[in-house]
Parts: sequence; C-alpha cells; structure tokens
Amino acid sequence: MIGELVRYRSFIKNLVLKDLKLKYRGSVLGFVWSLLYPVMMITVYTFAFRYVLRVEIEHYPYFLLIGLLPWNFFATSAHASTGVIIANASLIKKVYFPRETLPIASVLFSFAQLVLALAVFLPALVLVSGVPLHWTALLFVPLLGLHLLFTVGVAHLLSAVTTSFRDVAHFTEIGLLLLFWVTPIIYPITMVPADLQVYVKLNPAAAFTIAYQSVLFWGTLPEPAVLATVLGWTLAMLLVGQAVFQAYSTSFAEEV
Amino acid sequence: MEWAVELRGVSKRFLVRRNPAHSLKIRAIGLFHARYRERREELWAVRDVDLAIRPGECLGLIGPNGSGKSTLLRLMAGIFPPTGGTVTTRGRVAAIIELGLGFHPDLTGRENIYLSTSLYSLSSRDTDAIYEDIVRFAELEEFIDLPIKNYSAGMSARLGFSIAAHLEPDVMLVDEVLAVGDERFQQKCIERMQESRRRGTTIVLVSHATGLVERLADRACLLLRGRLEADGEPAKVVARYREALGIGPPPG
Repeated sequence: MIGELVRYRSFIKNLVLKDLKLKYRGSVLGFVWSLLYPVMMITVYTFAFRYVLRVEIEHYPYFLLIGLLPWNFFATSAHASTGVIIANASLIKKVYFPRETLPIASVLFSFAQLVLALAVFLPALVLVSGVPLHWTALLFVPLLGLHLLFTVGVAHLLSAVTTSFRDVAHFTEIGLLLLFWVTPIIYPITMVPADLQVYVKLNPAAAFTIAYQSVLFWGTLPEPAVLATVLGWTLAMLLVGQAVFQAYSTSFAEEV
Repeated sequence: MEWAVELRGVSKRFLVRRNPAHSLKIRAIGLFHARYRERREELWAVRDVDLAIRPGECLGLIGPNGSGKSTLLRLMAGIFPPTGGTVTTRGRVAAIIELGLGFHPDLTGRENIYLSTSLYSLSSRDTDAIYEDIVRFAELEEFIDLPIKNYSAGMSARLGFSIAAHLEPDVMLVDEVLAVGDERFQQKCIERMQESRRRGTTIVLVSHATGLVERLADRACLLLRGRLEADGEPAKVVARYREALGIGPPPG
C-alpha cells in the first residue's frame, strides 16, 4: 500500500496544488484570506472570553492561537474528508488509482494552510506577547507530525463510511461543533473541575491541544499521560482508519 | 507464455439496490415497512470469461449495449474487483474510458496535463519528457496557458486524446473514445494507435464501430449477455456479431 502511494505521490502533490490554486485564484486578497480568518476568530474570542467572561490567563491571544490553528486544521480536514470520495466519483469509476490518495490529499491541503498560518502567526505573536520560547518548543514539530497522522486516520475512516451512510457527513458536522467546546482551546485545562479533567483529557483533540500548550506556552514537557493519549489515539486511528478504508474501498466504484 | 492480460474464470456480479438505504433513517424504517426495505437484486454483468491476451496484441471487444464490454474492461483495469476468478496484468496498465479525466475547467491546459498524467501514476519528470509532444499533437501551442473553460469542446477532446496517446503504458484499455474532433483529427488518432501497436503496446479496444475493429485489431472477441461468445479473427467475429444482432453484412 505504501509503495502504491509512493508511485502516486505526484498525483497527491497535484491534487493539493490544484486545491490551493483554485482556492486563491481570482480573489484579490489571495492567500491573505487564510490569515484573516484566524485573526478575526482570535479577536472575537479574546473579546468574549478574556474580557467578557474573564478567563484569567496572560497573553490570551497567544494561548488561543496555539490551540485554535491546529484545531482548525483538524476540523476542516475531518469535515472535508466526508465528501471527498463522493465528489470524485467520476474518477473512481473510470480509472484505477489508490483511493487513499483522495483523503490524504484533502488532509494535506488543510495542513499546508496550517503550516502557512503558523509560519506567519507564531513568530508575530511570540514577538508581540514577549512570551519566551523554551527549548520544549522544538517538540512542537513532532507533535504536529502525529496530529497529521491522526487526522489522516480520521479522514480515512470518515471518507470511507460516508459512501455507505451519507448521515456521517451531518454527524461529523455536529460532532465537531460539540467537540470544540469540550476541548481546552479557549480555556486552560486547569479551569475544568478537577474530577472532570480526566474525562476531558481522554478526548484526542484535548490531548493534542494540552500538549501544544505545554511545549509552546508553558515551556514544559507534556505530562506522560497526555503524551500517551496522543500516541494511543494516533496509532488507533491510523489502524482503524486504514482497516475500514480497505474494507470499503474495493466497492467504491460500485457504491458512489 | 507470459500473457499481458490474463482472465481466468472471471465473473462480475453487481448488486442492484432498490431503495438504497444510504441513510440510517431509511434503514430504521425498513425494519418495520417492507416497502422501504433495501432489496438487492443480482445482476451478472460478466460470467465465466477466460481470456488471455499476448503482449503486443490488439484485441477488439465487441457486443451490443449491456453485454458487459465496459465491465470487462474495468475488471482488466482493476477498477472493480472480480466477484469470481482472477485477473492478472503485466506492466503499467492505463484505462482510457473517458478523455480529459480529472480536468478542471479553471486550471490551464498546462496544469491539466500535469494533473491528468499524474492520475496515471506519471511523475512530474515523466510528464516533462512528453509535455511538448502532447501540446503539439493536440495543436494547442497558442492556448496552453489559458484555463480550459475557455476551450471549445473539440479543443478539450483533442487535449484529452493527446494525453491518453502519450501515456505509453504497456497495456492500453480503450473504451469508445476514438470519435473525437473532426475527421482529420480522428485519422490522426487512429494513426497514433497504430504507431503504439507497432511499438509493442498491448491494446484492448472496446467499440461499436465494427469497421474500426476490423481495421485495427488482429483479434476480436464477442460478448453476449456477459459471456464470451466468439474469439478469433476480426472479420469472422464481426460477421458473427451481425448475425447475433440480426442484421446483414454492411452494404457495399
């Protein structure tokens, strides 16, 4: 399977480039739109949660950004993956190619935008907020890598199952909305009542967010339990996603 | 003998779904109301086909509508798994079932060439090597950097055929796509196919145009209701096909 994907790597690359080009071509502001969106969200959330609801945290915009950008990547990927097989039905019926390329390309498209946003916002906010970067910030890169793999697993699962049950698309939309509020992105995990924290931390999105905040914001190593949750979910989703995708993909050409 | 394509006892069953239960709601209602229950009917599109194609052979696949020609082609391409039997192919296989596959109207001709060829597992470097030839053959030198939504239908079809013609796979599976462009361009396409044949490409050609099969193929197969009814010299198989359809030999 990996060998097949390597053979089709230029197809994956071209799919991602196509989506990036089409997203920005013909718009005046171009890729600036990808930066404006987080700026607006951070402004509004800072107003609502820092100044109205008084979340007591210094350098709140920086704290928010660390959780929000990766979340946007995950949520956009999960949402887009539900439609990716159906949207490419005409290709699937007419030519052989490893079907995994479709969810992978759709995740990489969101990931490219995450990397772009991080490259602009992280240095900017570190400078503005004056929060010193600790050496633990180096761990941000491998954590992002795990997040990418985890999301690829989720995308495999969702894209495959949606071909048989179109409800999954709606379910995912609602699920993401709910998941966002039980993930400590706009509030720190320490504000969650102590006896509930253990359940919140089981949520994969929360584990990733807490780990990002540890290495970038607090300058500490992630707790072993959080790291174990991150690794466990990544491995589980990769395996489950792959297995489910394999089971469904042979009949894609007949189902879609 | 190393076959280019080998089918052994190949069958393909489709489940035609009445009331396909794509949503959980319908599935739940189906538990109580038989009328809404998903029913699956079997449809055998291909039954028990044995077919071995030599490297370099050009095989014409003929048969009336619904006889299973396209399904058989897709089985060879690996688009469907067979329900029974085995399909083995050697080398790089390219199925040309539709021209301009993967084209996006907002991308330029150049960008679409790279996208479309990568769909057939060509790397960017592979495509660099054939890029000029593709553009020249399609006669689109002046328009290649325009979005293809500005192309005429004929121009898109020419670009699509030109890409297909330059993929140079070991096995080329072609489904009714030769009828593009004006007569002069069609002639060019047929010549291009003959050139590929001379270079040793194995070709499987699905066509209604029996004249074309007689002209290009060195072997023909007739499919009727999913079964292989005749296999042999094109002229004889075409005659058998006409007999099955209940029409006489072509006039003249």
